Amino acid sequence: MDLRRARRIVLSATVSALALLSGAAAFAAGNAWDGYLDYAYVYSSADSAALKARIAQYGKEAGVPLDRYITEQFETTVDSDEPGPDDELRIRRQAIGYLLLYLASSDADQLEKSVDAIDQLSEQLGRSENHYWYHYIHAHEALELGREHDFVGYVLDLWQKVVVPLEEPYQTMQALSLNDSPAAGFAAALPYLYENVARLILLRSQELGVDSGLDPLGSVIRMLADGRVGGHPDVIPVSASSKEYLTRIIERLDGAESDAGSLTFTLALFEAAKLHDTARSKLASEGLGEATVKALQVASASYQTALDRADTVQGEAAVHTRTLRLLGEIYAAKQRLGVDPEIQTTFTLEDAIDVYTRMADAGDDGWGALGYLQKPDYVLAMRGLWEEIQEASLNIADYYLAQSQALPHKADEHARNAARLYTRYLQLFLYYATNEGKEGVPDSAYFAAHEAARGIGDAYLIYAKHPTSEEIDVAIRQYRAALKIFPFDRQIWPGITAALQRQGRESEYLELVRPAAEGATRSRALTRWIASNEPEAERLKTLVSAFSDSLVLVYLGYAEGKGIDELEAGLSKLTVQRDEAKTRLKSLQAQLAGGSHTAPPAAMSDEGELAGPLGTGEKLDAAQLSQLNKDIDEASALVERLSTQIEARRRTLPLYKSTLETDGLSDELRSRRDHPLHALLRRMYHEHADVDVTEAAY
Amino acid sequence: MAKRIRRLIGLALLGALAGCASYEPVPLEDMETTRVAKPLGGETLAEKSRTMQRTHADIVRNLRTLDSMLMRGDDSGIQLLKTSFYAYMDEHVEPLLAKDWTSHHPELAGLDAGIRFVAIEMLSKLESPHRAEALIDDVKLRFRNRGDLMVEYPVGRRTKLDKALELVEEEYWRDDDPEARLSARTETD
Repeated sequence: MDLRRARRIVLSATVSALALLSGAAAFAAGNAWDGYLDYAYVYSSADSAALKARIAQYGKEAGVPLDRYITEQFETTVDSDEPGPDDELRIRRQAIGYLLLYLASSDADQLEKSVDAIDQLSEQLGRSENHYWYHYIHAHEALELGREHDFVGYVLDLWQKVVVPLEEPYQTMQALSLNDSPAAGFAAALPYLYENVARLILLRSQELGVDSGLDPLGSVIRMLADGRVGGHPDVIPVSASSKEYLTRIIERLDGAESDAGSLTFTLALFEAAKLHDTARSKLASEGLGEATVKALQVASASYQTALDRADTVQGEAAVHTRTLRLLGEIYAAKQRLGVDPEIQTTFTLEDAIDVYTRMADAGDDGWGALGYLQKPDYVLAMRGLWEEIQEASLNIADYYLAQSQALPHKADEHARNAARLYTRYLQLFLYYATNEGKEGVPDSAYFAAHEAARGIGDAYLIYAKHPTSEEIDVAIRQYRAALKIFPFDRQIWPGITAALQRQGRESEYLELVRPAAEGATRSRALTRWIASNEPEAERLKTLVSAFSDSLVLVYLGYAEGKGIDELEAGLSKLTVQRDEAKTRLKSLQAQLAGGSHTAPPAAMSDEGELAGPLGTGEKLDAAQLSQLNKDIDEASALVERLSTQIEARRRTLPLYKSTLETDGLSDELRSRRDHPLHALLRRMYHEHADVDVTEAAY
Repeated sequence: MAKRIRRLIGLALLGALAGCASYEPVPLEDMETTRVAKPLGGETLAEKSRTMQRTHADIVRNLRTLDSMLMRGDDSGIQLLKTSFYAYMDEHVEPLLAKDWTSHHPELAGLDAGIRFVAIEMLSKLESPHRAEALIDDVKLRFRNRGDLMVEYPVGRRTKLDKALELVEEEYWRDDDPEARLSARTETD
């Protein structure tokens, strides 16, 4: 907008100055257009709608529209064989005029006329201005005809023959503050030429669908980004220049998301990403309606074009990273919105996994051959692709789980589809999350592995209607694996007990879960994390304390679903039961003391300790005495047992209660890939990865 | 803002002059005002330095683009870049480095040599052994007995000129057989 305003000011000021200096008589319509055409490099690369409006406005100001001006001024003139200096200026204006009409209307006939006109100056290219327009117009013609090779040639020529020779004079004049001087000539246009060349390559070529052969222009784009575009804020405000756009392209061109520096690929991927953004906006505002589905398919096709342009694994990885995001978003939307339209995409998880495998296999010796300039880019790209594989896997599996609930008659089928996806992710995880391969695995992959393992368990135990006994076995194993990777998920403990109950194996519970709990309590990484007061240290400390108590583990497995009030009521009830048992015991002991002929048996005090004999003086026969002793023994045992239970519950309940306050960790990790705990899970996993977590592979 | 408006009016006046009187001043780029035989200091030297720095940076950007196309085997693109780069060498780089003084000026000598080294790499990768060899010979001649001069080569690193020469010769001139060189020139230049 600023640039438009600036241009308007320039041209309005031109007209005003003309009026002032030359008087009303001199301010003929033709003269006004002459000024507009001579300075057309200022505004010619505006988008067609803006240019059309501008030309119409100038036509009003000049009193004659451009097309009529051209007809009247130029088309009636007979060209001489050898254009003289006046003819040169006239022909150039004519060519520019036609070009402007073409750019504003997309009428290819106007471009043809522009080419015919400027070709008359093909022998007068010694003048920079002629040279510029000659190549600029021919570059547009090449674009219009789909001749990308010619387009690249014209732009490279324009750079070498026009831009480079003007740079030193411009620099000199700038140093002498003469760049605004009339003597500056066409050199003063240099900042606009930079801008126009940038827009021609980055925008115009894409508008006309050029998606191949642009790579040699990478050098021009890199030079433009080196302080040229946006480097003259006194002439073109930075905000009005294409600097920001250019910077984004350069970051892509030389960054992790490139195809070994291919400009063609970078622009194709950039265009596809823009279409993806459009589809995403439609998805947010309109849901999965017809227009959104169409936009998603257009974006997908665009990504396919980018993939077709990729010559290296680096390029393939960049495309798959983005297409998986698209895929994940589609499934998440289907699940969220409860609709299931058919959306055709050509990308699959397996394609992406294949690319990841090739990247990982390249390793330290081969990453350069994949197209990357530096190793951090390679690692970053691997981790980026991994994250999209994991998110797409989890999203699509979630979708199937939701489908299994929405369509009960297909519950088993969808649950098994989900389990298959989780299993595929786990296989990938177990293969690469090793000391050798972990560099390309992001921190968030570990929690995702926990989610996948738990997802398998859920799929068979919660979502499938008729799981086989083998599937239940798998579910239990995966729950255990999930627990080992992330023991702080409180939901998973009762999941294991439920599965065991289905198989009548409740007694195995502690044996199965204890290793995961011990893994946490013995983890050096976790201990250091808590000692250093790293994020979430307090919550983790609570959980670790709880894991060291087997009774808390039992609570975690069996008490989930019961409220803490219910558990505390149970404790009160036990106390009452013990008090009653004590009372009965006292009564029995009193009976014994009253009727005993022999030394009374050891009795319990109120505190459960041995007390001295009591006597009532009542006589008991041998059988009664024997029964009484037996009752006393039983009552004593009951009191002792109840006291032990009460003591255990009094110790354990607060611990268990405190674990309730740690709820929500899973949700936090799920929603934040950059959550600091992901790094802790990674460290914990590699403390014992090779020992027991690998059982998840099957 | 006032300054900006003044500047715009200045441009407008220029437009008025061009439009009304058909007067076109002789552009500065056509004047021989910017070529100074041997600037020893001041703004002219600074300008020369800026021009040389820009040239060095531009060749590095061409080199990056060429490397990219070589990796992808883009023969057609390489041919276009080659044509363009030859023009750049002919019309800009060689005239810029033609004078002897830039190779000896204490502030410019390293930059002068640095431009030559990246140009050698570029030409070698473009399979132009004749031009590359000529540049190597030129470097040896101009910088004789100055092997300790620090130059930026390879790109992004500073090395002594002797070492840089060794590197380009090792990297791009493995074959020291003059007949093989001649044959290579005939085939590719």
